[in-house]
Amino acid sequence: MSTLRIQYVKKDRLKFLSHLEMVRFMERTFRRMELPLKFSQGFNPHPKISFAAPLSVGVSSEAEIVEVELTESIDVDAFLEKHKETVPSALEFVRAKEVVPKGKLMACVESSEYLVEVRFEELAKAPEQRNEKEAFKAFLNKEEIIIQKKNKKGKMREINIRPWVYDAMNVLSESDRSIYRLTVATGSNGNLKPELLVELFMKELELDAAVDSYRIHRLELYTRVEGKRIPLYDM
Amino acid sequence: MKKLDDILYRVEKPSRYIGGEINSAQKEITEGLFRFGFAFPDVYEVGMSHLGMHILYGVLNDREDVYCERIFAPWTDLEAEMRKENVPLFTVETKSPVKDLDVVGFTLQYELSYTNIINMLDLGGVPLRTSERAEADPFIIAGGPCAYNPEPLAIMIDAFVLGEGEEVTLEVIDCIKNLKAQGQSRKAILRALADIQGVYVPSLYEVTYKEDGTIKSFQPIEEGVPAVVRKRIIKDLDSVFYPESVIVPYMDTVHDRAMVEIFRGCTAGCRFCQAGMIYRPVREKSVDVIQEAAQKLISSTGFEELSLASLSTMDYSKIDELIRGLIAEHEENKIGVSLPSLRLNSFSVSVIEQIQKVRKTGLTFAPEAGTQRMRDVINKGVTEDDLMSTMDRIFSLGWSKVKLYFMIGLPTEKQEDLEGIGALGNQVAKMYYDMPREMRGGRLTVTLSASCFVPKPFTPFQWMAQDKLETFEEKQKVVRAAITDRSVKFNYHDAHTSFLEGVVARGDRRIGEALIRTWEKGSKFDGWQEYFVFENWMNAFSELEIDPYFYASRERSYDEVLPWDFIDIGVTKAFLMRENDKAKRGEVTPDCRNGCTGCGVNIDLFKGGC
Repeated sequence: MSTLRIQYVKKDRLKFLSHLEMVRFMERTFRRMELPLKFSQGFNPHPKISFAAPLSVGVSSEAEIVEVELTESIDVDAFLEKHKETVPSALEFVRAKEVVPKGKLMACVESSEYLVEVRFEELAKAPEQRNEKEAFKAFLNKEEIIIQKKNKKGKMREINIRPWVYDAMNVLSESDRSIYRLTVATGSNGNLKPELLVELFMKELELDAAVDSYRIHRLELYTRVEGKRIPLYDM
Repeated sequence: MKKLDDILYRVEKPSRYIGGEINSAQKEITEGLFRFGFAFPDVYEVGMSHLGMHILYGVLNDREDVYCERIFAPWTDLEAEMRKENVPLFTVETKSPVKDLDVVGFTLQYELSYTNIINMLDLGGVPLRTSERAEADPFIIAGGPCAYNPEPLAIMIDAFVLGEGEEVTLEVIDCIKNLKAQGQSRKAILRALADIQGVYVPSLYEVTYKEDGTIKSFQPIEEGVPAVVRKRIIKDLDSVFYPESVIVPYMDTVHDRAMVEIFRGCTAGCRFCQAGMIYRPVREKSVDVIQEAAQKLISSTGFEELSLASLSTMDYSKIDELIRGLIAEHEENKIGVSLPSLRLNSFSVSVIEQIQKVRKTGLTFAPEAGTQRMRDVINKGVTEDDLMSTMDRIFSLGWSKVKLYFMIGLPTEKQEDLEGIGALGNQVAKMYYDMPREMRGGRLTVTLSASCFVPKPFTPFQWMAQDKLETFEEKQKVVRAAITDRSVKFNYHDAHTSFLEGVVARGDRRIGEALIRTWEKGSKFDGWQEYFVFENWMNAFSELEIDPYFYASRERSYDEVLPWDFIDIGVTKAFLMRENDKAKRGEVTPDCRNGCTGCGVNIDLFKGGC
């Protein structure tokens, strides 16, 4: 019995895979690599594979975590070497280690760090006029940042997302694009899609009409251990 | 293609288009590389389930000097973006415009996909008609089961390939490659292609018609062009190429599993079935070859399910040995074995029991007709006792959901045959409720599914009139009314699509312009209920003064020249006539494994074989 934790990237065209497609991809990858998979009991046995936090279609990442249960230990270095033969580089396994699981992987996720790129169609204001860095700081200094969200019954509800924003700043402001770096809540104790915050801010700047699209990239997944935020892989 | 990346953010299921799947072919595009596009006229998830594509993809990419890439119909959302942004139809592998290819080969699986072929040519910037194409345009070829009546697409397809494609596709490629290198014209190359057995070049043939609209003559316009085109078959299936690895799609496809072919052809001789005639003779692969192929596929793909592909898997002569072997080998890795089609007999149940040890698969059976008389007419060698004893065993094994397939609109069909479909459903349900409660599985569902019969070329029913729309709809009501048990559900096919299938399946060359006109009215994805517009087709017919009922609803006489008569499938027309006559008398013809029934396939095509 052993659990293997893998950190992998998801980039280029493969960022368009849905979470379900990733699940299937991982199972088949592990089967091709002939890992000693542990299967669930019952009529329809499947391997025990858990993902940390599903990514939306189109979001790239360099810090995805998956864990797979095995019936015996394996040589991790050989595994990492071998995977290159059968996994496209856009889904490369960055590192892996055997771990003692600390409960459900998904439940350990506390936050994620993202880059959000805003692409502008045509600009109403030049970067120096936008003064995004300062304006964004001021925006974050508000006690409440309210979004409208439909609940399960379809009723609109107001939610304050400010407590879910742990760290955020503008890191680039050019004529055709801006980039924000944000650490926001992820998981069952609060979950914020990073582009939501940026969208609200664009509205505040009255730039929302000029936005062409958003590109989102996940830099890290975090957990909290003894009050400290550490990368999920390290737990 | 940077633009495509941005577009993919705006469409549904972008993983249809990204490519780069495990085991997909990556080749460097160099000057001398022959570029072939395998085109499936439907979306990715449908096309990727097609075994023939995986085989030919392997055969072609095995050649260093050939690069076979895949082309699918983009879904309507992507198509709209492509048209807006001027992105031409592209290959999955390298996103190359189809105009850059040497050959685009369409597979013809279904008549109602023809509007998609036209749409794909248009999206690729390829002129729709053979006569409009220039020297630089790719050769547009087509094969697959619907190519056995190539005439409806004759004005659009440069060359058809009839029969099994492993050898002939390479011959076609070599011919085009060599003559192109010599600087030969498109016309000269097409003429040379016509000399390859199995290749039909429609522009080299002329059709004349009688006053009543039937064909007067069909002949080559040039000396030396063969008057009869004979299909191609692979003689030895054990030695023919079979891919050791197949593409593993990222997205969920219709058949998302490893498929291993176990034999070709079918000996049952069901009279409605085109596949049963055009794929003759039966040729099996040996158990060892199948097991090795399965092993290689599983280890190269990581698929968790293995499917045995053939027209009638239970008829494989060593099915028991094969299944036991496969299960023994793959049980440890929890790989399920599934069977796509099952014949009703007690033997199939013992095989099902084997499979159940690993994974429970859904159960479907095809009695095809509701009474014994009707089943005798269509030569479906299944009795009511077979059905009942099979159901009995299935239920006692704990199954409680079965699906039964039927056809309505069969020749000589009477009210009681239709009522018989409902009655069978009632009886199956009664059998279940007669079992002691503690023996029953879950909640019972018996699904009766009825399709509208479409007479097909090269079957004993190729001369008959198809039922009209109103008749089909009345018959559907008769079946429904005969169902009395609440556990019995009834599904039926829309008769409109079956009617148009009937028109195109037995259509002639004059249908081609109507297909183009239908597409001009916006038709595509006609196989998808939400896009199917019946009126587009009917308006196109009436504008071009084509009578669709002439093709679908007219009984032909034996001496009429049929549009596909120039094709030799090995099975003789005399045999088909004999079978048609026997059908009318309700006489059965036994499975030809138990003695030759004289279809003719072993005379010239497969000498001394079977």
